[in-house]
Amino acid sequence: MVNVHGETMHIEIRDLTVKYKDITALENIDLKIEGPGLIQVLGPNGAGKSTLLRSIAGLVKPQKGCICINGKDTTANPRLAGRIIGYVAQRPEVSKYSTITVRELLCYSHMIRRQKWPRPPCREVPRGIDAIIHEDILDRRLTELSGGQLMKTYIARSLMPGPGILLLDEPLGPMDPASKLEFADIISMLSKERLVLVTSHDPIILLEYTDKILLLNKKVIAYGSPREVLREEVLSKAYGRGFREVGYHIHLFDSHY
Amino acid sequence: MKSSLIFRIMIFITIISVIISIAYIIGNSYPIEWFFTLVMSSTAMGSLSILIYTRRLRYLAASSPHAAFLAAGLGIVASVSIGGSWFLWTVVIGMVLVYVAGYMIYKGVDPEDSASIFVAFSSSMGALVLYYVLTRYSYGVSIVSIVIGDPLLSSTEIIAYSVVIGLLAVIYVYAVGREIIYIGSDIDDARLAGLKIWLYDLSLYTMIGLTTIGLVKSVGFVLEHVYLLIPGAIAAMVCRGVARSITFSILVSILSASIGLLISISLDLAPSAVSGGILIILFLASAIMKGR
Ligand SMILES: Nc1ncnc2c1ncn2[C@@H]1O[C@H](COP(=O)(O)OP(=O)(O)O)[C@@H](O)[C@H]1O
Ligand SMILES: [Mg+2]
Repeated sequence: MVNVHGETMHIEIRDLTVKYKDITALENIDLKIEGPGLIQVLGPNGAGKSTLLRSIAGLVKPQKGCICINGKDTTANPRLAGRIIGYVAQRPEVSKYSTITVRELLCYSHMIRRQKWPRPPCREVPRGIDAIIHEDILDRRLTELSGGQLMKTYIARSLMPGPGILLLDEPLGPMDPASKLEFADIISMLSKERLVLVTSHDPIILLEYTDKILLLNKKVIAYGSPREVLREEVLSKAYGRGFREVGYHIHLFDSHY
Repeated sequence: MKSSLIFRIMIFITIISVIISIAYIIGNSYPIEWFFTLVMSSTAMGSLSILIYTRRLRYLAASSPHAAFLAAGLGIVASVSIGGSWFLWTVVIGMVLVYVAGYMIYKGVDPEDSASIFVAFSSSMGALVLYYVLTRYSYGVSIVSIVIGDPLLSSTEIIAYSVVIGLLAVIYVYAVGREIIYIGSDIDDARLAGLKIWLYDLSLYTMIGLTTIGLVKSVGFVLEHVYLLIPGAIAAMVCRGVARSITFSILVSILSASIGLLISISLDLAPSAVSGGILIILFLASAIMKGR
């Protein structure tokens, strides 16, 4: 698939197994994901959602298997993956000693991607982020932002590699309900020309923009359209008894149609 | 108060205090080297300070003066028994120790744990070595300056070293400070952008080591902690923005050293201690200002 810029976006995961010492986080994952579009990654806590996103970004070294992005082997190679991928970690940490401002974070992310050295100073905030963050927070320190503002800042930052693939790990986590809706619009806008993978515990907010859902619990339980995946018998395979929580929402989901 | 106003006031006060301090030294025919040794030592540490905080290397930075303490002792033993310059021996031995500590952090040992072990090791070994030196060699004066520092007694070698390392540190932070701070703020994105993180870390460990070890005799290992940690802590409280906080922490170092030298000469007190005291006053003032 190709977006309006003529860019392909294609992730292929082959027989991926990731272990942390004796804990197996992902086991024999085989998956092909194509964009543009929005993919939601669901699964209970500890299902390996974060590990999957980090593996795709090349930030985790798997025990076995490989990941190809647009046909290139990017396994455990963040430098190569990072040309196409923007990534936002689950609950990004900001040290209380950090003086970096929103403007600087965006500028520097842009600046460090230039290969020329010494790198030039950057004064202008890269374009295209005004839809995501307000101008009046640009000169605040990250330590002065609310959880939602911080998440939006990091999402704006993740657009620096240019349109391609975005991996957002529980971006809705720190947001209040009003921001969540505003945020859904942002995600839908971004996923028009990008392949966006979002992990979440609540599939409903983004549901109307979602192209596919990946249900994960160390292995791929299901991968398909929301209609195919958000069914009791499928969800219970990943969540066990906990699926009722999600099941309640399915009801809502069905009533939309 | 707005942070940009504080910043401008700071530039102004620093320039004034540098001028007064130099005028006082020249006017009373004291050696101007005193000024350069103390101010450049302080500047070297202060410019690294903000990088240490954002890269979360506080523990390494706090361990490094202890490495300097041990290295200085071993340096005496080596130069007496093998020969060669004390200074060179100290720097070489100290750098090895700092790299060992850095490597432990790099290999994923918790920085707090590695610092505890490292500080315990280098302090007890350092005391052992210095006791040995004290009881066997006649090296008394130098040992006192290793502990409490004496910029006014520095050899030409150390004066030259302070000036070079001070300039080098300033150039270093303006050249790669932004990258290092970005790594500290968002390490995943830095890896995706292709920054060689180990190289930046290695360069920072090297700078921390070269400063704390090379300046141990003029500043003293006790006060190195203060010089290395307080300017960044002040800048982190007062400043908004990386570029500003780097400059601010350098200004704080220059200001405290030049006022400190002025006061210590006129009252005949220990120069690096008075400068350290001024840093602490500035720290408390910023904390109170920020608390309001
Ligand atoms: N850095 C790590 N070190 C050790 N174990 C980890 C690490 N990261 C994740 N894990 C473990 O791997 C499993 C999957 O974690 P994760 O990918 O974070 O799941 P999820 O994001 O779905 O909650 C969990 O059991 C977790 O405890
Ligand atoms: Mg997670």
